[in-house]
Amino acid sequence: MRLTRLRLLLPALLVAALAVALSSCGGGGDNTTGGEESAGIPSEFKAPTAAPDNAAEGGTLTVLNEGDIDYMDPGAAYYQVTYELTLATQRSLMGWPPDATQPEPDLADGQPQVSDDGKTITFKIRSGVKYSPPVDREVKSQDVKYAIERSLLSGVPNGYTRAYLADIEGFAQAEQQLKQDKTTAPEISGIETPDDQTLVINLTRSSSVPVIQALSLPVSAPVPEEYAKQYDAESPSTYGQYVTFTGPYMVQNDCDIKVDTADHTAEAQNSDCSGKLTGYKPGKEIELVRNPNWDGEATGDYRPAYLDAVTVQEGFADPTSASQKILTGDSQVSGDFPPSKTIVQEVATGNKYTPDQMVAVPSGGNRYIALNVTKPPFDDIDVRKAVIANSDRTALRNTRGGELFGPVATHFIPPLIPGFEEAGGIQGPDLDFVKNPDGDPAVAKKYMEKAGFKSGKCEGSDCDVTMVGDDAPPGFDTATVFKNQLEELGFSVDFQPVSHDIMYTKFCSVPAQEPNVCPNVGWIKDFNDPQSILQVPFSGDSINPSNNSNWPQLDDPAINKAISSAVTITDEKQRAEAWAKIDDQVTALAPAVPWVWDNDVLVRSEDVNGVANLFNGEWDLAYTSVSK
Amino acid sequence: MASLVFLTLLIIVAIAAPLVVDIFGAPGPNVEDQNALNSTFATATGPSSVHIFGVDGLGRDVFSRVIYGARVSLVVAFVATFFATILGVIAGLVAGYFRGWTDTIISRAVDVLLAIPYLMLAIGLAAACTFSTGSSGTSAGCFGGHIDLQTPILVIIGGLLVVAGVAWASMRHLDEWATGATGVGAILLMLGLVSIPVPSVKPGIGVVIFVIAVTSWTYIARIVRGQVLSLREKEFVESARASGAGHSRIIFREILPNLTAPIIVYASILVPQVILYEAALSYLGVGVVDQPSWGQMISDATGDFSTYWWYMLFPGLALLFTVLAFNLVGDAMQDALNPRAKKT
Repeated sequence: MRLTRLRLLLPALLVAALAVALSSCGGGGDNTTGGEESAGIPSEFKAPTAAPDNAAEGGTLTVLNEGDIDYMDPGAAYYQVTYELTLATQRSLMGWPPDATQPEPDLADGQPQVSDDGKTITFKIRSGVKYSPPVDREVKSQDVKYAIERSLLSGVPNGYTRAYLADIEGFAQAEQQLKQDKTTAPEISGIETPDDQTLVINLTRSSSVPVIQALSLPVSAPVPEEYAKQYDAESPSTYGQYVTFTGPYMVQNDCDIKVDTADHTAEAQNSDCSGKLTGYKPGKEIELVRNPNWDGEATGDYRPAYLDAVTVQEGFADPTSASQKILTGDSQVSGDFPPSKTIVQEVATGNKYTPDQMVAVPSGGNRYIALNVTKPPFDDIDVRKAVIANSDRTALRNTRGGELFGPVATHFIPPLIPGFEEAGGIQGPDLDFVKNPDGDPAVAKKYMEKAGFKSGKCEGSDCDVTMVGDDAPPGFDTATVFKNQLEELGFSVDFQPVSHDIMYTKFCSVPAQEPNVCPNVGWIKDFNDPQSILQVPFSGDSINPSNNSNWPQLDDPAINKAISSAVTITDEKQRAEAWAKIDDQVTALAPAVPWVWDNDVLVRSEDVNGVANLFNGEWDLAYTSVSK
Repeated sequence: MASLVFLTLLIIVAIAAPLVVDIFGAPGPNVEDQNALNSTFATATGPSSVHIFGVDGLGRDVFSRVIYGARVSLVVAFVATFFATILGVIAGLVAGYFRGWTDTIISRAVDVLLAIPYLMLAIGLAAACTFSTGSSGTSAGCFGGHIDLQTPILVIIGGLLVVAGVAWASMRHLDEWATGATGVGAILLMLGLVSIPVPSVKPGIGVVIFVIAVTSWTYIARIVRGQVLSLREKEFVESARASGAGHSRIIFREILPNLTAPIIVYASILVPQVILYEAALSYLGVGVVDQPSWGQMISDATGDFSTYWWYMLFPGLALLFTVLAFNLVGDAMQDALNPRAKKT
């Protein structure tokens, strides 16, 4: 998923923590082959991934956010900050306990059965899982089928089903059907429900790995068709205002849920209710309460759900003061913003706050500076190599913060994602132009000469380049530093600072308007598989006239071919190797300057027993507790 | 006297900034010295032997940025004050001398401008002039910058009107028609020039000067108008008129020389205001972006002032002393040139 300002990536700390998680998680398979020693997250900032034995039940936690979630509707939810809520309020087929490196069964009763040819996946659904009031009924396999089908509606703007689930049989026909009837969720024939407890997914090719991974995302959270249909008939769907929940928490609605703080149960006070959410005030506040119909023990939920309620407060525009409020306050945690590097230093040195009030989690994301390969001067691979070689990427990383904010990137697959080590790990591939993280002017000169610039500096009218980047730190600082680095090579840079949203929607994601340089782009995994890192940002097939995320506009036939065949590999080892090779190919074409695999840095109040979710890189609300 | 010495030094330092920075062995203002940052947290570090004023959060030398910042402050101060004074004097002369509807239009325009909170207006203008997203996507320039057809039309018509107005005034009389045509032409010309798309108008010092000049001429215009209203009734003007002098001769040869003292005084009072104005705009993020400026440095430092006092303190002191010096010099000018205005 695209990095938004709502979730800033900070990678280095986490890697070590993940290694721990790996050993404790048996079922997921060994997808990380190392990285802990290279990630460099000091042990005191490793995120706890389990609640302490004496974790207390009850209490209300306040999450401070800068911005709002994207969509309350689980079919459209995509931001990290939204996942923070869906992980605690929805049970999708597969889920992510805080320490998981591979999806584990949540609504599914055990790992799915995959046929030998990798084309049929069978899920068993747990019995007894009930929807929150006012739906109140038990979840059936048909509800998951409907949830996936409705995500194709234009009124449910899902960001990933078309990328990862298009291999389901009947997907193309469903898209056709949608053209005739835009407001009814189309039938996908490849999703079968032989009985209420069974869900069978038939694929056209052996892409079960990304499909199962994608079914760990909120799109597979069940949606009751008879209840949601009326809302889905509108475009955009209004189901987001009437969401029903299956997890331990729910957004307060007009059924007026009241939590008993003595025995930590909840009850609906109003039985004559529509399910309209009253606890979500966009841009201001989200009020979560216990879901009266959730019974974790009886339905095999791994979530302990200590808290009685969670309040998300939005609109904290200044991360520094918000961090200070959390660090000095009670029962608060940070949501979508990282603390500034100054705050990080103050916490880490223990001068003002306790160091354990801060943790770092590898986000599984990268940040890079995209060089537009479709027009001069960056259509010349030697010029691009020179730019990368000359770039002091440590200086770029330092604009966000020190090592805690992540290691300097040398390629694109981030630490802890399968394929990271195979692609060269922290050291990266053996390419002279990415080797030195502090930049190497001699190598840069060599490539400039190769590109025909005898002096080693760019000369001529093609050397006037345009750049559109963030107008606020830290993105603005990154752009400023990179501008200087380009000028060292003789380029003359016309830098237009704009807001982060505008940077994407008007410039960098619109190929027709794209400047030569987009310094503030980045990508975070959709799930723990290298496909979700490389496919959308570097496949020529994914270039769109708008909302484009292949920012360099790289369209290389060899890479496109390698991607489409790597998607169907089911063997873990072969899969990691294949994607690592694609990573090598991409890095060798020098379409972008990779400069950080970032860590998410999170802070908490002293009385919060914070547990971080390593998959999502946020606090896990279903595991975090408040000490009395 | 001390202020004069300080200002002279400041001007020399600003002009010879690269030399001064070299003498002190400091790196250039945009050099990001990674070794100067805290090695673990990449945060700013305080004064040291290499960086005598410390470095900011990107590793840039604060001393060198303060020195280079003086250039921005002084250039903006003098150029913007110059334009604001010219605009104000012309508007005041024309309004006061011709009275009637000319005066009404100009005076009401001044009233309207004064009624708009000047900082808000400046922020709006600066934001519009530095960047905007029109229907065509990329565009920069005032008024959306996508006035493609209008630009040449405005420039041509405006230019013709100015030429016609000046020609009319020099061949016939400097009357309402000449001043009206010149004024309207100048406005059209300005509109045309600022609406030229992308490369010509970029965020930065030019826009800041434009914005400050456009919002600062009003006080001078009022003062000059008031003076002219009384001067034009004086005997020497009467006699000039009786002996057949034209409007332009009366305005420029009879009235203007009598206004020299107040104009110099008010211009010198305007200078420190303009410096603060520029600092405020840069502080708010709509000012100078491509080179170091004191307001911008103070703005960068606000978030972390309690920890990194040095990169607010030094530009702050520079701003304080510069404004103070200009104020004292302005005061002295007033005493010297306009003794009657002396406080009783």
